[in-house]
Amino acid sequence: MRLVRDTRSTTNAGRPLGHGRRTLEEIMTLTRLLVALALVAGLAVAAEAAVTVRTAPAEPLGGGTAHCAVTNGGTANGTATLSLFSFSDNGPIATDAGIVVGPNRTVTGSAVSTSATDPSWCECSIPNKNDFRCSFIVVNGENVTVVPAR
Amino acid sequence: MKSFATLNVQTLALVVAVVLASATFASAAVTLRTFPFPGSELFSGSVACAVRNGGTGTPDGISVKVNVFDSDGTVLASDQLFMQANDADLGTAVDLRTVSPAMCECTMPNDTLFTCSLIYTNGPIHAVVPSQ
Repeated sequence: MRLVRDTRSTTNAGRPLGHGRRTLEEIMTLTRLLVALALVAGLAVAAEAAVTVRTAPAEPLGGGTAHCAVTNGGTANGTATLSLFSFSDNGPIATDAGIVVGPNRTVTGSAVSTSATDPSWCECSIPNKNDFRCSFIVVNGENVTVVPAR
Repeated sequence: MKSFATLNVQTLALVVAVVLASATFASAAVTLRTFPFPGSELFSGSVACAVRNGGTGTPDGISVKVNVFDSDGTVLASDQLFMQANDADLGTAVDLRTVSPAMCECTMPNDTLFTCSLIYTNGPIHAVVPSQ
């Protein structure tokens, strides 16, 4: 590692005044700044990483339909995957993968009957939580239930 | 002549200051959006965006902008509301017989004292979709 050369003043012996101490301070300052930059950069990258959000469970009454939905409030297209889960199955009862959602657009996933299945909650893989929102939705006539995914 | 390392320290300090200043500026106003609402599956009733200010106000009110979007990204209604202290206001309601609202977008001073929701009203039916 190349250390700093101090050319401002020297002692009679030709050695820089306070050379070791000032260099150490500068290295420590540099290290602190680099750590701060790395943290800021890391946070920015984390904010852009894809995330999976899930809704709280619901138990809708029979006679309606249920589905997941995703909204993109950002300015660029994003890709989402919606999975609808039930009480009675370990796997999803409906999956919509690779949905491209444009800016300010909302896309609904496959609907299932609340009478034939037991839909309960949604899992949504979205580009980020800043611009994208996901819901579990039940519609029964004019009655609506919307459960947000966090 | 300044040493290379000293210049780097100053440059990095400037970069950090700019990044932090940008972050502070970006947090000055926030945009909240509600979770998806199935307006395309409903054929009666109305939807409006609502805003709450849980803090203090100003003589002229604090400006908040709200938009209702449909699922295609079209703005169905847009309002600028002026919020007083401990106030709640409604934006323009849209009719589900003619349009299909999907979300509200609200731009407000902060998300600590202010929040926003999409409200669906249909006779005795009332649903509230929160924002994040």
